[in-house]
Amino acid sequence: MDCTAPDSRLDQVLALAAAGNENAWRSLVARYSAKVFALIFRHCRDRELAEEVTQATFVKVVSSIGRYKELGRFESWLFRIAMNQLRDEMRGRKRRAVSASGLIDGSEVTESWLEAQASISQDPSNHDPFHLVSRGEQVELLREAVGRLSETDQQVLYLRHTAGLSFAQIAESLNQPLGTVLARGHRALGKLRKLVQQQDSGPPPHPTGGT
Amino acid sequence: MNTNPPTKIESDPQLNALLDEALGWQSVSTPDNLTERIISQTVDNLESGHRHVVGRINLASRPVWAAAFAALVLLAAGAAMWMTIPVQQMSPSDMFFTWDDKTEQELELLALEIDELQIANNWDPVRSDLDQELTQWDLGIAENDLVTEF
Repeated sequence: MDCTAPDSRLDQVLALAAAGNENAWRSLVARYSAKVFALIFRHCRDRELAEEVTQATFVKVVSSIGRYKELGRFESWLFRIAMNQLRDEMRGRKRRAVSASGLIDGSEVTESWLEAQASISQDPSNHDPFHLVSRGEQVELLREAVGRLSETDQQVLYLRHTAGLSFAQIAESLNQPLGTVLARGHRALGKLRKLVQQQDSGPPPHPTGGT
Repeated sequence: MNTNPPTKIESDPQLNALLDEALGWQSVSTPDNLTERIISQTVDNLESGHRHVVGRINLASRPVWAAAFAALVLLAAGAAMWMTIPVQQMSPSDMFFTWDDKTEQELELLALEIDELQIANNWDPVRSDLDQELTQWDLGIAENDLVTEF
């Protein structure tokens, strides 16, 4: 299904699904199930858990869709339910999301930590962290760096780049002011640049002079 | 791929493009038949949820329920009023009654009580209309020899 269908068509599909139309519901599930699964998987890195939460999300949605009236905000509502389901599931299992690397017990990557890491390498050529690696390696570097961010920063990035929401929709999903979400996104990008820069710089080169 | 327009804070298009590629949902392989499994799990709820919502809306809007509720309120109010109406008891000093409503036995007892009240309160039966009535009543009772036994 065309995921870029205009919102007016989405509203029609929602209205039909709310009225009990099975085909409309099928099209909604087909359109959003992969996105919801990817969003949950990015957070928890557990395919089985992500699948369970995705199914639970749509069970919740189908039980509430008859009362859904906020046309034009479906995606915010859908991903809010998904995030809440994940949070509830994580609390129930008493598990913590597995980060890519570097995150100790969920502690946030602070600015002071980043500055300390920046002092490791002073090579000006490392200003552009991507110039020495391939595209695939850049992507992996970035994923690893995102995994080292705080959970709140990851939330904004995943909703923006995985779920494809606007910052206004992200604010609705997280029930936070738009300014807060924008500031958090800006800080997350800044942290990412520094993290990727540090990861790409690697260990300092050994001196080549003879001894 | 994020198709939303970039914001002012996203001044690094290279980084954002990489983020779209690294974090985009297309880069996550979806489990086989995920959509079908979700459909099979939820389609029954779609119908029942719709019926439940419709039924609830209809019941809430039926005038019958409003009328039933109003009747219940009236019934409760009526029951409360009936239970709180005080039982009026004729006291010996209550002169506002009709002789004809009283039996001879009741009149006899009332006469005795009036006598006692007169003695206790030192009433002068001549001074007031009420007292005159009492006097006449006493005379009436006396004429009927209701107090002769006493």
